[in-house]
Amino acid sequence: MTPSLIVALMLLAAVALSTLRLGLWWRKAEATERSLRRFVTLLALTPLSALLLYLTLFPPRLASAPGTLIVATRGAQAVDAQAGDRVVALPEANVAGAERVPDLATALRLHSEATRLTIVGEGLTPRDRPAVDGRALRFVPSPLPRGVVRLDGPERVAPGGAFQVGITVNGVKGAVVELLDPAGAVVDTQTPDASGLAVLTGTAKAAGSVSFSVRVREATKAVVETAEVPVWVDEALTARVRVIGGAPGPEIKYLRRWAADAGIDMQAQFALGGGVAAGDAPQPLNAATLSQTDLLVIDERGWDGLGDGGRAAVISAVRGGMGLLLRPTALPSETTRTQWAALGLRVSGTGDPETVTLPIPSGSKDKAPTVTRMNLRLDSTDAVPLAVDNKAQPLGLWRAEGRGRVGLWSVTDSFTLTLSGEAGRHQALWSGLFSTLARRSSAALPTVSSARVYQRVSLCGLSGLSGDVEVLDPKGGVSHPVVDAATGEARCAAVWPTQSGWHVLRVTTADTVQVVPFHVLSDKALPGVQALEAREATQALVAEDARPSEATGEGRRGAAWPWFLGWLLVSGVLWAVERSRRPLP
Amino acid sequence: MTPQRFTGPARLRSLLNDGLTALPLIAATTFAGWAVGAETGLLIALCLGLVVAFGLAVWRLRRFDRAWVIAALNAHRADMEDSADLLFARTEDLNPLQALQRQRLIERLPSPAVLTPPWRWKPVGFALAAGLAIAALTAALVWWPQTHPTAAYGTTAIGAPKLISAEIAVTPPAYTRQAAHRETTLDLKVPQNTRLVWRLRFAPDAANVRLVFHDGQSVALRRDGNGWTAALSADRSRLYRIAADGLPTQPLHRLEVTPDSPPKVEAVLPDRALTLVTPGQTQWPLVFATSDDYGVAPTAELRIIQAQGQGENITFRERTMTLSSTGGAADKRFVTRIDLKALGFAVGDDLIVQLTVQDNRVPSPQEARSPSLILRWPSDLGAESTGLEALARKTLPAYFRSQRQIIIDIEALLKEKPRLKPDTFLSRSDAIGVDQRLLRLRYGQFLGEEAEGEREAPPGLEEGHSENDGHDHGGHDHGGHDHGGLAAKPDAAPVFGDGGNVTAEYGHTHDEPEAATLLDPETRATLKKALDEMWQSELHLRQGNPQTALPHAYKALGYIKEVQQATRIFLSRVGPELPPIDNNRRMTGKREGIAPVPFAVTAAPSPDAPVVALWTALAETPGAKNDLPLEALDGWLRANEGRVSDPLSLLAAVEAVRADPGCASCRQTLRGQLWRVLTRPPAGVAPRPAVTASGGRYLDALERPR
Repeated sequence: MTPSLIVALMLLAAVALSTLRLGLWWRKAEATERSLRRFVTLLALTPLSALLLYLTLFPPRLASAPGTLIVATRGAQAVDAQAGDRVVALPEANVAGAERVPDLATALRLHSEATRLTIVGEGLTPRDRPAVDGRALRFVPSPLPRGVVRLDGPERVAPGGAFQVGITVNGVKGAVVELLDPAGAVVDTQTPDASGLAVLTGTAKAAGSVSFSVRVREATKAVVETAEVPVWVDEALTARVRVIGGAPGPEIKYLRRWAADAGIDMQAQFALGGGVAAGDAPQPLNAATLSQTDLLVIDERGWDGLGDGGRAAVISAVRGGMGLLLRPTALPSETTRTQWAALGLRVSGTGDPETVTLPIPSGSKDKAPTVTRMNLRLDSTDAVPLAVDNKAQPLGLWRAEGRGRVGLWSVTDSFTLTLSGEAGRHQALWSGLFSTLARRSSAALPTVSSARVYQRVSLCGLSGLSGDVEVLDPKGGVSHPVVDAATGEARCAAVWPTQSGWHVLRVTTADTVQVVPFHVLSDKALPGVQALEAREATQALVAEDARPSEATGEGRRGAAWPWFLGWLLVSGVLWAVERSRRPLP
Repeated sequence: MTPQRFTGPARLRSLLNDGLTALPLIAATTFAGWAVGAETGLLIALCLGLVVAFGLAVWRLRRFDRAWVIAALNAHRADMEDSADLLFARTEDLNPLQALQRQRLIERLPSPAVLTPPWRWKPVGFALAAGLAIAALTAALVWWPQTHPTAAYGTTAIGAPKLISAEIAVTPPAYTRQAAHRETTLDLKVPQNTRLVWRLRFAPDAANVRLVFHDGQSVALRRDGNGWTAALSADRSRLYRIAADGLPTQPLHRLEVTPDSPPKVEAVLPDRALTLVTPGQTQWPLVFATSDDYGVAPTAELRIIQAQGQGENITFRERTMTLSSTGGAADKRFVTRIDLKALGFAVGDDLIVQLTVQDNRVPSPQEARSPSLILRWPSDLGAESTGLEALARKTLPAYFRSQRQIIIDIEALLKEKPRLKPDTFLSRSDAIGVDQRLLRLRYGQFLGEEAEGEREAPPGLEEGHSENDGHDHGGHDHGGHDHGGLAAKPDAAPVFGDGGNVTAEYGHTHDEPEAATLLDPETRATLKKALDEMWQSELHLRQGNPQTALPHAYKALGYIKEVQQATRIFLSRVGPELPPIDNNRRMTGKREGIAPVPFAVTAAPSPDAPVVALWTALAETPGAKNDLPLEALDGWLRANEGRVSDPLSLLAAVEAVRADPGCASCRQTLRGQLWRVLTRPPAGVAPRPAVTASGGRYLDALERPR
């Protein structure tokens, strides 16, 4: 029941009533008063007047002119508008002569006749992307700004661990990127490759938030851009590691030293044979104990000593999520090799020791450290290197086995790194191995999308009740996002942060408190990154199957005043005729 | 008739009038420019004033034109009869009447001075007054604050005291050769033991003024006139702030002290520690380069030690020389030549020199010594041996020379053969065979073979036994066990193999050949082959067939060469080749009491727990509690000041946060300083995120039998 229909019905009723009354009058009137001509005039003009009133209120729609709606976004330069095109400017755009609109959805409502959309400039912001809603889209991107266009910080860093920052630089000739630590000292310098990509490496120290920064210099050493790289250093994981070996040795000794210092719960045991054991108090090896172990480090003699039952328990524990690191200290026996091949890691070769050099950063003046590895050919169809030497040959491999991971490590004397003053290297090596292989954490943490001020940040995987979800902002404010029931299993909520800096998402359930920190960029930060993001998202909208452009019926209505004049004229005539009906006094 | 005749003087007078009027104004502007902008201002104002004045004056001159002259003449002189314009009209254009009138006018023409404007003193007076006013105003505006401190003092006497001027007289120690100067900043970087005199003034005057150092020490200032003063000798780097009764807390200032570094000395010539005497050398040139941050003492002491003698009988003689220097104050060179003859430097002597230099620090100079330089005159330039390796190399060729000598002898004999009598040839061949035998016996000792037969007679006297010797080799069937090692060596010099002979002499070695020596099996086999070849060579020599013996002698030499190479692995460093494990005996011993020894590893305590605590507390983590453990850091810093590269900056950052805990940039600075101090903990294990539902399904699908 639209307003126009209601009005039409009312007018129709009025016309009917009026005609009825006219008929009654005609019958009652005296003959002298009767004038057929007047009667016919009144009878004809009444519906005409009603029709004109209707058209005055609801002027007919214009014939739809299929013009293009040109939407100027941030960075839009001169807009090339054809005749019939309409140019609107979103708030970020700065284009002279364009109609300013608060957002794209408003623009589309205002210009609903537009069937084609052309986006010029950097691209649509997240605010405007849903409004496109499958419309045919053409995108004329403006050139990307000079400087950083992509910056990927690390997701998880353990204290003392190294982390990588990926950076893509656009349009800077002879660029050099530097990573600066919180004290402002340069810790890494790289030259971006032809595509502008560089990977910088830094080191975390204590747990908590820490703010590194990247600096882009051009060939003349002038600073092009400096951007903050917020890094959150998690508390170190207290991994439960079990070491089973045939004999104690320096490798295990230094491994235990590192593990103790790094807060790893390591339990090492060595069956020396004949019931004599060394190491920590021996624990039984069964499904129950292995389920409490995050990583099992075992050498070939330990593997032999497990027995069939023990090996089956280990393999089933690996499928259940445990990590397993096979650490041969000599060429394994044929049987062992067959068993390892069943785990996807085939080993062949002589097992002779050979010296390999570890990679060092290019430009480093230090002598590259060397370790000894066994001459084993590691062979696997689906394995990933654990670490590589300076010739990019893998020193070990890992692969996924069920929910867990199995690794094989061919270096036998990594402890010499510690002895030659490269303790950090030794720690980094083993930290990398353990971090790769150890069991995943059991509780799934909520995920937070990348965040920027005044933009929607979606929080998913919120396990608690909606009342227990809090987002703490840097100024101490607390907001309670509500989980959207429509998201179903994903259990998502959203916030629109108003402050930049570190926020904390805290989800409290009956037995746990999950804390997920996330950093919110300010709206001015990293303009290049924002530009690239908008460009890629808009291009994705273009690439998606656009709805075929259909002539939308809801065109604009024409002007009402000619109808009004007509109605006024007709009404005037009616009035005059009506008036002349009565005899003049 | 030209109008210039009248306008010229009028213009000059007008110019002078304007100039006089402009002069005071230009002077005043120039003064104002100087007051505001010193010399630059003065120049700018002067130029500007001159240009403007000149421009105005020239502009004003334009009114003195022809029309003005005509008007002025007509107005001034009635006898011009309003016809002055005829004077300057062209004569050709005039009608006779006009020409006549013109002639009359020329006769009546007055002197040009009539039209000259009078001197105008009134504008000059006004300009003078205006100039003075400008000057006074400028002076008042520019110098008001400086010349009226007492007025400010009087008006603000009720408020809190305020530091209005601070000055530090810095007097570095004289030896640094740095000029004494005055600093107006309170942050200083001075050489150690610099004398500092603070001179502070407060408005209104403060009481109980003192300098409070970060370590708690406080120095009271004493009143001196209308200021406060204190003197201090800077002995170490510190932070301080100025405190007084009623004075608001002042910012911290750095007093950084750079200690005097000891001098550096290096030897330029010779460029190595050990130099050998060159033949005919009579002098030893020495050049030392020294440097210091402030200055090196002009003289230095050269210690010369001469070591004479050989073996244990070495005497040392020590003497010192004083060297004087060349070069600047901070970089000096000490050059000398040591006369070797005068020192009595002779064969086998060592000369060791060392230079000791001092810097010019007062009161106690710092001292540095150069590395010791040695000049050696080797006692025997060929016999320099310093280790077993060289010894072995030295001694072993004695054997090889022998085998080679035998070959040389054989070849010489073969050459001489045509000229020799058969008897002589045979006897010489036999003599070589005897040499070959002796050599064979010597090598045989390495294999543990007992010396053959009885004590050998000198070579050449036992020809009769020679045939037997060959048969003896297989079975030792001699009555007396005479291990005649010594006898086998007629040239009993101390050579390789003596050690074995000691055993042979005093012990009673019935060793099996295989286990007798330290030779490894391969070497022993080679040596055995060499002995066999020697035996063959000897056989043929004794039979008078040196031609046949020669190939064997060569082969023997080749094998001995191999042995020589093999001596490099004489004592294996790789480790013993263990005998194979007897599995029957394995693990059969008693194992009671063998208990696993728990080797507990305790985590090394973090050296900087307070730093980590403060670092964490300073993080802008939402929802974290906000108290800063600054006191703990103070304690840590006192204990670990040596570990921190720049403790003053750290202290300053701590103080800034203590003063204003809410200051975000101060907290950021302190965090940066703490980051420098933080040690990198051992890299731990980074947690991996839990597997997602889809990820889990994927991993499970991978495991399905394929």
